[in-house]
Amino acid sequence: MFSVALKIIFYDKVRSLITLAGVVFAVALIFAQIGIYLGLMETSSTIIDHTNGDIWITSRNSKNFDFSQPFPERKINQVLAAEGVKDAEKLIVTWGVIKQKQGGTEQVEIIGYNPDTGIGGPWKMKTGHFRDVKNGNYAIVDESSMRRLGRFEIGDYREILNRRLRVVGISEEVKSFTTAPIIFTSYKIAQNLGGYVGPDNTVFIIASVEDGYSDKEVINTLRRSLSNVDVYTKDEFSRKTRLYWTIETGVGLSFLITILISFLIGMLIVGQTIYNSTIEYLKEFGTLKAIGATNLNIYQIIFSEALINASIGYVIGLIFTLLSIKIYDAIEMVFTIKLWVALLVFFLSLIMCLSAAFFSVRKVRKIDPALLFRG
Amino acid sequence: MDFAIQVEDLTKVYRENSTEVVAVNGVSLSIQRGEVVGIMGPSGSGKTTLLSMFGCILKPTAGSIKIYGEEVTNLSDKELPFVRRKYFGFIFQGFNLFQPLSALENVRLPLEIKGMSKKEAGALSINLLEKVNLKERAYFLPRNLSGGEKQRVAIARALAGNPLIILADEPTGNLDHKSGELVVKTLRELVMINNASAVIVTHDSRIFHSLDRVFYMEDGKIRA
Ligand SMILES: Nc1ncnc2c1ncn2[C@@H]1O[C@H](COP(=O)(O)OP(=O)(O)O)[C@@H](O)[C@H]1O
Ligand SMILES: [Mg+2]
Repeated sequence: MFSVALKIIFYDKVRSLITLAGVVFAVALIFAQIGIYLGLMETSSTIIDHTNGDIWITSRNSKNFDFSQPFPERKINQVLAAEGVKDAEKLIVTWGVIKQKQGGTEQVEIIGYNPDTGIGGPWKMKTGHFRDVKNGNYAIVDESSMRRLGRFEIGDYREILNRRLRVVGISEEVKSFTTAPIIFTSYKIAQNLGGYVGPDNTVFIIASVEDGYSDKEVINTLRRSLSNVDVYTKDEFSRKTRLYWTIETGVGLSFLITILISFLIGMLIVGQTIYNSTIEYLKEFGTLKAIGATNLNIYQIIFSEALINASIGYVIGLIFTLLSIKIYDAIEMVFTIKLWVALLVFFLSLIMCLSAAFFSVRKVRKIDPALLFRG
Repeated sequence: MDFAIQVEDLTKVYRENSTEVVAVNGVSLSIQRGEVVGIMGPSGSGKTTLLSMFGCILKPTAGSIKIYGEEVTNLSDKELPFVRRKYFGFIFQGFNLFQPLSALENVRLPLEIKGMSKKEAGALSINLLEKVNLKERAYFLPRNLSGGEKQRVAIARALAGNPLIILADEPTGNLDHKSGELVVKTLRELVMINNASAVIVTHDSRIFHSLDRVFYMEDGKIRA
C-alpha cells in the first residue's frame, strides 16, 4: 500500500507540491517558534547558568535575575558562618542609563561582581580579563551590545549614571532577555552607581557548598538562620527566571498560539489536498473494495500518503531551519535546536498529517457503489 | 447442478427525499457455473442495480441471494469484503484503473490486498497480462493505453484472484466495435478456461453471439 501511495504522490505532482509546501511551512514555523522560545529561555538565565556556586540568596519574593531588590550585604557573614557553606560571594544586578556618543541614551543592565573571584562576571572574553575591572572606574561591555551602543574599543570612555567608566574588556555570549546591553563592572562601582542599590546592600549572595553536604541540607540551614530572603539552588533560580520571562510575561503563550496556528494551517492544507486526492481516486478505491479490499486496506493507502508527506515535508522543513540558524546568528538571536525538539516536531508533523487524513476516512467508508458503474 | 448465482424475488427500492424508485422489482433467476450470460435492456431498467446486488456491493431491499449455495443476503459489512474476495471479479465501463499505476501494478494490487507477496503477485500479473495479450504494455501507464487495452488490463485485474464469477457492466460501452469484440472474446475464453461464470450487462447487440443466454430487463423486471 505504501508503494501505491508513493506512486500517487509522484503522479500528482502539483498537488503533492502544495501538500509539501503546507507541511514545510508548518514544520519550519514550528521549529522557528520553539527555537526562538528556547533561545529566549536560555538567554534569560544565561548568567545564572554560567556562574559558579550552588546556592542563590535573593531578597524576599524576587521573581527573576534581572529585577531583584537589594538587601543588606552583611547577611553574607551569616551565610559564611552557616554549616556546610564553603564560600560565598556578593553580586549586584541593577539598571542604569548610558549616554550615547552620538547623543541620546540607552538603558543598560549593570552587573557588579567581585573582580578577585569573577563569580557572576563574564565567562568568555574577547579581549581583556574579568580581573581588569578592579580598582577603578572600569567596565567590560559585551560584544553583542555594539548594535545598541555603537562601536567601542578598549580605552573608550562611556558615561553611565553620571560616572565615566573606561572600557577595559570586551566579553562574548552575554545577552539578556530584556535585550538591554549588559555592562560588567566591579561590585563596588555598581553598588554606588546612581544610588539605587545603596552603599551597604547587595542584590544576590551566591554560596558554594562544602563537600559532604547536600545543597538541600545547606539551603534548609540558611532558610532557618536568615530572615527576609529567599534561598534557591542554582537550578531553581535559573528555572524561576526562565519561567518568569517566558510564562508570567505571556511571551510563552504567544509562541504557543503561533505554534498551534501553524499546526492547524498545516493540517488544513494537508487535509484538503489528501481529501481531494481521495475524491479523485474514489472510483478506483471503490473498485478495490468491490474486489474485496477492506476499508482498512484503503485507509492504509491514504495514511501512507499522509505519512510520506509528513516525512518529506519534515526533512525539508528541518533543512530550512538548519540553514536559517545562520540568519539568527547574524541578528544576534539565540536559536536553540536540540534533538528532543527535532523529535517533537517530527511527532507533531506526523500527528498533523495523519489527523488531516482522517477527513478522508468517512468518504472511503461511504463509497457509493453506483459511482463505480458510472462511465 | 452447480449454481453460481441464485436470486429469488430480488427487489431494490431507492428512496430519495420522499420519492421511491423501484429499480429492481422481484427478480428471480439462476446462473449456472460455466455460463456466460447477458443482461440487456433500456437505460434505467435496473441492470446496474441488479448486477451490484449480485456482486454484494449493494444490499437488496427484499429477496435473497445465494452465491454457490451460500446465503449472503444478510451478511454484515464486515463479512461482505471476504465474500467478494472469494467469488467476484468486476469490470466497469469506465475501466477504473489507477492512473498513477502501470498496467502491471493495477493487476497486482488486488492480489497484494489478498495477501500475496509482491513477487508472487508480480509473476502472476505478468502471466495474466500475457493472457490478455498485453505483456509488452505491462509497464505502461493507463493514459498511454487505448480504450480496448485499458479494458483488457481491467479484465486481467478482474481475473487476478481466479474469481468464480465475473460481473461486467457495459464493458464495451466506451470501445469501438473491433476492440469491443476482442474484449468480450478474451473475457469469454478466460472464463471458460477457469470454468467460471460471467454476467455481462450490455446493450451492444453485436456481442450477442458470445453469450450463452440473455435476460431482457424492463422497468426492473426480467421479461419472459
Ligand atoms: N443510487 C441511486 N439512487 C437513486 N436512484 C437510483 C440510484 N441508482 C439508480 N437509480 C435509479 O434506479 C433505476 C435503475 O437504474 P440502473 O440500475 O442504473 O439502470 P440501468 O443500469 O439499467 O441503466 C433508474 O431509474 C435510476 O434512476
Ligand atoms: Mg447501468
